[in-house]
Order: sequence, then C-alpha cells, then structure tokens
Amino acid sequence: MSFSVEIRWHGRGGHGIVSASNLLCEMAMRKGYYGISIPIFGAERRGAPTKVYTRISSKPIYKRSEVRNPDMVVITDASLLHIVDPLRGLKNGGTVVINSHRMGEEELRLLKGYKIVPVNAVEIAIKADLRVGGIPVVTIPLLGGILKVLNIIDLATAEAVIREKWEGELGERNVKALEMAMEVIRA
Amino acid sequence: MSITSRVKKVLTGNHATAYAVMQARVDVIPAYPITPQTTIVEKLDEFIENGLLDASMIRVESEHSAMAAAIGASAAGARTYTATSSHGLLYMYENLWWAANARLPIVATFVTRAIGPPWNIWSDHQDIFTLRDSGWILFMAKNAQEAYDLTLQAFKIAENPNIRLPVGIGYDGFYISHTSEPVEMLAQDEVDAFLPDKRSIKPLLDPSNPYTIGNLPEASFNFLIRKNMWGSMESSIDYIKKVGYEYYLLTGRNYGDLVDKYRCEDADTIFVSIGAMANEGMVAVDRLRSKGHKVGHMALRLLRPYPEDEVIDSIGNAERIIVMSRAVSMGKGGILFTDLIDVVYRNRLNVDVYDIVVGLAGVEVVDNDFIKVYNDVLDGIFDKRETIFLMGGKYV
Repeated sequence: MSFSVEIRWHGRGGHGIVSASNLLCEMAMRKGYYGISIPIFGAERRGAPTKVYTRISSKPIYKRSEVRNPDMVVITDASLLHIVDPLRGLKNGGTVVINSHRMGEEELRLLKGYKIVPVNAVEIAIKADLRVGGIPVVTIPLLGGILKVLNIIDLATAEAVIREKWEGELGERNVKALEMAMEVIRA
Repeated sequence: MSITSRVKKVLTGNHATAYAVMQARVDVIPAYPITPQTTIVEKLDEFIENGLLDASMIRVESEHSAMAAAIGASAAGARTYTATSSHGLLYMYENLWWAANARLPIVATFVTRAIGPPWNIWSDHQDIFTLRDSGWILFMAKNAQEAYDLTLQAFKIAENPNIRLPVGIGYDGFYISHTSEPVEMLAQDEVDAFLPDKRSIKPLLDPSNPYTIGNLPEASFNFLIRKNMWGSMESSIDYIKKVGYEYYLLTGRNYGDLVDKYRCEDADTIFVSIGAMANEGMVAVDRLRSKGHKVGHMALRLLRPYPEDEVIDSIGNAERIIVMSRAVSMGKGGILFTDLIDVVYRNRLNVDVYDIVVGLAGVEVVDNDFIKVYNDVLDGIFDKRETIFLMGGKYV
C-alpha cells in the first residue's frame, strides 16, 4: 500500500530534534520504507529555534528541499507557537504532536482545527530519568507520539534502533521514555 | 565495528563518505576543519581513535598546509585523502594544482559551499568549479549513496597507473552533507577486492633513486606535462566507465553510464543540473510527465573529464535543453551552460539551449523552479542569448 508523510519539527537548539528525526528514518527504513531527514542549519545556538524535516514514503524520495505543506508538525516547546510560526503551511486537519508542558488555553486556541496529540513529555522524561545536562529530553517521548500516529513502526523495531544508538543503561532509559509515551497517548 | 557484511544505515552524506574512506583503508589524512565538510574528518578521527582505521591524521594549521601534507604523503606512496569546502578550497588552491601537475592520486571531497563575502555557509557550486581546468577528475554526487559509491570508485580511478590524477567528489553542503538517508555499504572484503592493492602505487619519491621535483625546466617540458595530462584525462573516460560498470555488477547501482539520465527517452525538452537540485529536477520531470509533457533530466555525475559522447547520446532528438547552473562564470554565463554549448557547437547539434542560473549562495532550488522555467521557455519569453537569473521563483 502506498504511504507517504511529510513532517516538520520545531525545536530549540539542544532539544535533539535532528537526532530524533534521524532515528525515525532509521526505524522507517527497517520497516521497508524510504526516509530522509533534512536539518536546517544557520548559526546554531543552544535554546534558539531550530527546524528539521522528515519525509517517509513507500516510494523512493527525491525531494530534499524544505517541507512547505507538512502533514504533521512536531513542537518540542509550546512557547514556540508565539515565537516562530510552526503551523505555517500545515495541511488542513493536519496533526500537531506537541509537548504539553506549559500549554494553556491560548495555545489550545492557536491549534484549533488541527488534530492535536499532546504529549506530557517533560513529565515522562523525568519519570524515565532521561535528562541531558539536567534538562529533560522531550524528543523521545514526542517520538512515541509520532509513532502512535504514523502506525507503521512497531515498538520492537523502534526499541531495537534506540538500543543501537545508545548502548547500555542510557538506551534503556530512552526505551522506557518511549514506552511510557506510547502507553499514555491516544492517537 | 568493521563492516563484515553489507549493511544499510541511515547516514548523512558526510558520514557515508567517511565510511567509504575508512573502508578504502587510507594511510594519511591531512585535514583542516571547515563547515560543511568538518563532520567527515571528525568521523574519520573517531574511526582512528576506535582502532577501526589505521591511518595518520595530520592536524595542520591551514588548508594550504593540508594539501601540502597530502602532496608529500601521496608522493611517498601513501593512500591519501582530505576534504574541504569554499574558502578552505580557495586557500588550498595553489597546492591543488600542484597535486594535479605532479600526477598524485589523492582523493578529496569538496562539500560545496558559497564563497564570501558576505559570509555564507550554504551551498552553491562556485568553489568546485574553480578546479574545472586544473587536472582534477571531478565527480558530483546527488545523494549520500552516490557520495559513498563515488568515493570508493575514486581511489580505483586515481591510482590507475595510466591515469594517476587526483580525484575530487563534490556534493552540496547541508542538502547532502548533513541530510540523513539510507545508504547501503559494502562488506569490507568486497571493498578490499574492488580496490587495487595500495602498495601497488608507484611512489613519486624513491629514496634509492633520489631526484628533485618542480625544478625549472624548459617551457616545452611544461607544455608536454600539460599535454600528457590532457591525454590521461581523455583516456580516463573509458576507465571511469569500466570501473562504473564493475561497481554496477557488484552493487546493482549503475555508474558506467556517466550521465545520470532520468526519463530522457522520447523527451523533446531536457533539463540539465547537478548535485542536490538534480533531485528536484527529477520531481519536476515526474510532475510534467504526468500532464503529458515530454521532458527528461540529465544529471552530470562527471564534470571532468566532460562526458561528451554520453551527453550527445542523452540529448538524442531533443529540441531544447534547459541548463540550470548553480555557478556562474562572471561575464560569460552559467558554467554548466558554457560547458554544454561547446559540445552543441562542435557537434553541430540542432538544439536550443537555455542558460538559467539558480541557487547561488544556497538559495533553495525546488521542482517549481524547473517547471516555471519550462513553461516560460515554451511561452518564448527568453532571449536565448541571455543568461537568466532565477531566485526563489522570481527572475532577478
């Protein structure tokens, strides 16, 4: 069956959206899909808004330019809704996978009309003891949300890829965060 | 871990290149960092650190010194590799020509990046085209897989005793260097069998037979050095094809056809482009074909030597060619255009050729740009004698 999805990630320098997008491609590849992960680089600074694009398809992918009309947008920090325009070009009824930490009425209002997949990513990362330099790693729980929505990658495949990326105990903490996210998300 | 069987991994173009260089078992890597090349030599340093690659990484104080060290190492018979971009390439420039004239089989990656000022880290092709006339064999990859594949082939081509020319592999900064996609890598024993024994490289320097290089001979001697290089360049085409077909048999990926043709059969209009934007050209072709337009795309994978016969073949009976160059010869035209127009004239081809300059300084080139130009060519809005500049969907 033909499948294709275009995703745009909005994060902040240090959140690890490039790594998460690469992981997603590796997982998709293991399930027989084509994947490409395209980071946008400028002057990199920790905390500054960043972007990366993921394309996954059952057919070979040629395009490696900007994703202008994503099917899905991933937002690692709800405050980005006020700083950049993460919903620009998002298809009607498109999906927003968003870190629900500090998401209030106003953010919900901005997301009206889209399919919202909130992930309590900060809480999950803390529970899974997944922090880098003290900061909770929110991209792995968000990846759980994405996998749930895409529904093309099984948990075993996802976990195998994560364990290859981070060996030992760190890998287990990442796996735990992913599992916790997939349990609580209704997609 | 060394690669014991074929494996497919999601890699950036730069890491795919680093794996190929590791598998080629290079001896010496003199390197100086510059964005967007840096992650190649970083990865190679990591391979050395982890015991996967037995090579000397020479940390030099500049790109000029990087190529100087590469010249020394290669002259001594070492399999030698380096990488650079943009201002790094320009700083290396004098020695890049030295390496070519001395016929040293160095392999280098040129991750393309615009030249300042003002400062810019994004891709255009001005930097690699400064090597157009030097004597380097130049490839241009359009994705990470090609970066990997061409890097392996480069060592085999460079070290052929009848060629002995340095080989450069170019690809776009970020669009390929930092973009991750599936790459199939060969098993180490397959690479070992594919590449020549590196101890078979006849060193330029021989301690038992000392002589000086680069002295001041008669002018005619220098003339013949360049003429001999010309001969090797011309005859290298056949060997590059042979290596490409051998690689095709091994992997199923065809590099023997030096022009990467996409839906050119029966096309009345053919786009020409190279590198990352060739992918957009292919998407444009699919979109136009779905509406009944007879269009195709030619990606020139080999820039030097220029694959003239294959280009003529690919043009076939096309009526028009739209050349999209990401580099311009100031006061002359798009560089891919000027390369092609000479083939058209010398062979008296009856075809209209349009000269479009796009994507300078890393401005994104997308499928819509190709389609816009195609429609405007059909509408006859261009004067064929003009060089047209298209930026972000608008003529400027």
